[in-house]
Amino acid sequence: MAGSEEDIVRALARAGTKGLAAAALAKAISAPPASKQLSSAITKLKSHGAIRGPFRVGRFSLFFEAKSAPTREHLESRIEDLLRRAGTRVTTRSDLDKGMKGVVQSLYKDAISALKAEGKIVELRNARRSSLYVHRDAIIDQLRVESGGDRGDRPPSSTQSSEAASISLDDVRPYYLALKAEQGGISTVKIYDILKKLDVSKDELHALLLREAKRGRVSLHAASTIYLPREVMEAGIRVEGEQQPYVTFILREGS
Amino acid sequence: MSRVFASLPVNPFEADVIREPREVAYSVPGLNDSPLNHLIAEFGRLTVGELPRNPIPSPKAQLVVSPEAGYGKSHLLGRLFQALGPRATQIYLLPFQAPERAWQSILLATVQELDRPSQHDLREETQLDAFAMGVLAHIAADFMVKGGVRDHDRLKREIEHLRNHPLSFLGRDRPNRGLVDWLKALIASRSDSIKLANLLKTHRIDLQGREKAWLQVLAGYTFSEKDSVERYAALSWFRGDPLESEEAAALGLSAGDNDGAVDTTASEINAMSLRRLHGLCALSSYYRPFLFCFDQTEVYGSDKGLADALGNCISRMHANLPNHLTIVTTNATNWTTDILPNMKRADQDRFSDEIRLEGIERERSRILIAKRLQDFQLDDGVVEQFIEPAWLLSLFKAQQSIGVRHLLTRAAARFRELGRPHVRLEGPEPPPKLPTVDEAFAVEVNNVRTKPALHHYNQDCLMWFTQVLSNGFDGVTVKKPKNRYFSTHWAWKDRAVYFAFEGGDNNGRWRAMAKEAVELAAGGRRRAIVFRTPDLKPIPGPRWIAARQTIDQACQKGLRIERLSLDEVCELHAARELYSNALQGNVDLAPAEVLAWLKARFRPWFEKYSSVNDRPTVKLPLEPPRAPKPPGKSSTSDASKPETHPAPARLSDIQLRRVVDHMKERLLDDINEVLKALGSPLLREALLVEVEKHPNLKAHPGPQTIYLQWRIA
Repeated sequence: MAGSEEDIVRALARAGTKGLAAAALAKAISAPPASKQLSSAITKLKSHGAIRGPFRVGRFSLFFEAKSAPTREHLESRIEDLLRRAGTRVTTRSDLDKGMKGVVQSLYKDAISALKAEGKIVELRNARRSSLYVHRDAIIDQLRVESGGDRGDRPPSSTQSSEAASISLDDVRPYYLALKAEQGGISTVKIYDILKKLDVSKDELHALLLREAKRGRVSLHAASTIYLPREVMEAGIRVEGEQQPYVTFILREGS
Repeated sequence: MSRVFASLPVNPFEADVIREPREVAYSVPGLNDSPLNHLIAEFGRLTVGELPRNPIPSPKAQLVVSPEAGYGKSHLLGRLFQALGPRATQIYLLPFQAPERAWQSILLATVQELDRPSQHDLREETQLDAFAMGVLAHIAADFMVKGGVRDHDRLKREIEHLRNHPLSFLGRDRPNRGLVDWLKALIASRSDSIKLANLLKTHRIDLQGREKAWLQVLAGYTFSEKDSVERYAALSWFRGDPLESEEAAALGLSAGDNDGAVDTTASEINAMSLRRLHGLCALSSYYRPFLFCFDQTEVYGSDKGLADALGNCISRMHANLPNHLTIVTTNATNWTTDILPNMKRADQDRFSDEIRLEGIERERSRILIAKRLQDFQLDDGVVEQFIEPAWLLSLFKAQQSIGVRHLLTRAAARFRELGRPHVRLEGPEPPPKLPTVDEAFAVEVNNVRTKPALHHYNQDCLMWFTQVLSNGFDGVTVKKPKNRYFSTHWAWKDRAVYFAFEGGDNNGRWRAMAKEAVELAAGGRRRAIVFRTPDLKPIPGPRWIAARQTIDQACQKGLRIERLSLDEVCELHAARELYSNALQGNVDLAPAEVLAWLKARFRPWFEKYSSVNDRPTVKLPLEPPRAPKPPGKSSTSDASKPETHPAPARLSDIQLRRVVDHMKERLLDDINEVLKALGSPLLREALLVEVEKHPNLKAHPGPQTIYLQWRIA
């Protein structure tokens, strides 16, 4: 093969966010278009995360250097901008698609799912069950409620909202650190042990941990031993779709 | 779409437990780089300065903690093995079973690991070859520099080259036969070998008066042909076993240096084993420091004595063994709930701060899933459709990262679901299909079968069978008497069976064991059993005369030497592995359920070995002499049946070529089809040896059969 793996990465870096189709890439590194070596070099580079693709963009399947590859996060921000600009006017799916012409379809779908899951956009249905979209900021403005610092959170349910305000990670942290020290610096701490120390209900603590887990400030874990007492298991958090309850958690550094 | 998934006989996501760290072939970029880099840096502290170095005190044991099962402990060890490559002598240790024989177990596993082919050096050299050549090359260089040769200044470049490339100078293809012969002669000469031994002291290496013996044994191992008496004797000596006089003579050892006692207690064997480990670590001042990895430590949590013994071993390794890094992997709650509370406070302090493993996030999950699918040559369109955004998102609805095994389990369930006709691609997959114990055990047996390194004698596994798996069978009480050899006792009111665990073949020791068996079996309904595995020499040895008589008599009075077949070894190792996996949460099966199933599965074994009825005792036949330790040698036939056509241990070059051509064409195929192409089902074990060694071949054990895959490296 005329071009090495380094050449492939260099050619894609030069193409930047425009990316290159396989034929154009082969041309850029002076390799035959259907070369097996080129294809195996691409597979290898992809597995190492140096390049990404092929992404279907319009009629083309494009490869990108990892740093220039389209990302879901970038698309999320474009979708948010478009919907924010629309304000309280709902945007149909076809209008949204038009505004996002030329983007990678799989990432686009993923970005919409993520925005919906994170409560940043709201999906509505019209009488024909077609999708309509509106940004959450427009709704918050209309309802005249404070959005709070945590824009990434899904709004808590009515039963959780009053509880959520009553306890924070700052309340948990001193007990967490004491328990961590007691177990020789192991940062995975049992929810049951925290419950024993804190004067809060199980639901309150669960709500806090679930909320913070979504924000990435806490991670939740299943038990790895069979010798945990029943009360420890019962203090765990059960999440729909998960077979094991989360019975321990880690408070991430800097949270 | 469903046709693509349904047509694959192997689910690409079902391999979600690393059984052997050396099998790690792929890592998601960036995942757990931080713990890996930390361990590499810690190891780096042992390699500061030019070789040979003075002994470097070992850091605390590095405690790698997984927040729950399936975050990649063994995978991290595999990456570390790859990253350190030939800079380290790598030892992977599975749990020991008997606290009173912990050092013996660690040494036995260490010697087995040392005698495995090195992944990083010349293909057929073992880790011990590399270690021995490295040590001897530096000692030879020191000898030259310190007056051993005239005008050594003129040879400065050559000496430097010898230090830097010992394997190319002393390697098995012998490009420098003259140098090897000169070194052998030096070691054989009494006066010169004393000079060489004294050189060790200049680097503050104290081998407790056995300096000369160590050099003789290292040279005996590495300068002798495979399957030679010298090489076999050297391995016995490293294990602390006593040598037969002709074996000691082959290595040139004096009677005093043949220090493995014939008649010895467990504590003496343990002390000897620790001395040998010290010797190996001390000598690594001359070459590669040791890396000891204690994995699957959850097993230690099942017994207070084991947890305490683990702490004690780590503590003494840290305090007494130089030039090594110990790594201990664990799951967080196993550690804090089952192990730490049973460890002495002083021992707890010998562990580092936790080195925590991280979960996998969404983007990296996408990379891993894509890689698994691409390994099976599925095109990008299929891959994109498999990683449907809503499905992927549903895995992360509770938090931003999850355990890798959890991801693979969910992906495996999705793969099964998509293989069914008329399924929708969006949304969460149905709950994962839980394996039955039968299936899990069948997969585990095939898993062990695909890894020839797991077919070796393993006293811990045999102890587990006699002490844990047997517990409760037919009202038995399992005791641990303080006999010299027969250290496990099945006791009933009306009968008793004793077990000894001996992997050696010294006739003196076997005579002593036979005598103890006779004493124990005296007085009626009693038996004394010793297990042998196919990789061990048969007992009694072909040229034993007095010992044969003693053993024959002992057999008349209740001693039974039970030769396990390879199938039985695989089943037993698989049973312990499956139970260990259940304890660690690696499989969705309750440990109690697994243990109960295994007890039922192994009932015929219990019945066989608990029987004390007299059976016609045949005088032990004189067995034909075998090669001392055929690598990968195995027999699947019943031990009692004569083997007419022993299966070859390795494939010939032509056969291997045929396998490669076949697999390149098929990409994925049932092992039985490959054996058909080879023309003989007897080549199964040899084929699996080649698969383990070949970079493009991978085995996928399933419950019914083993699939082989051709991977484009």
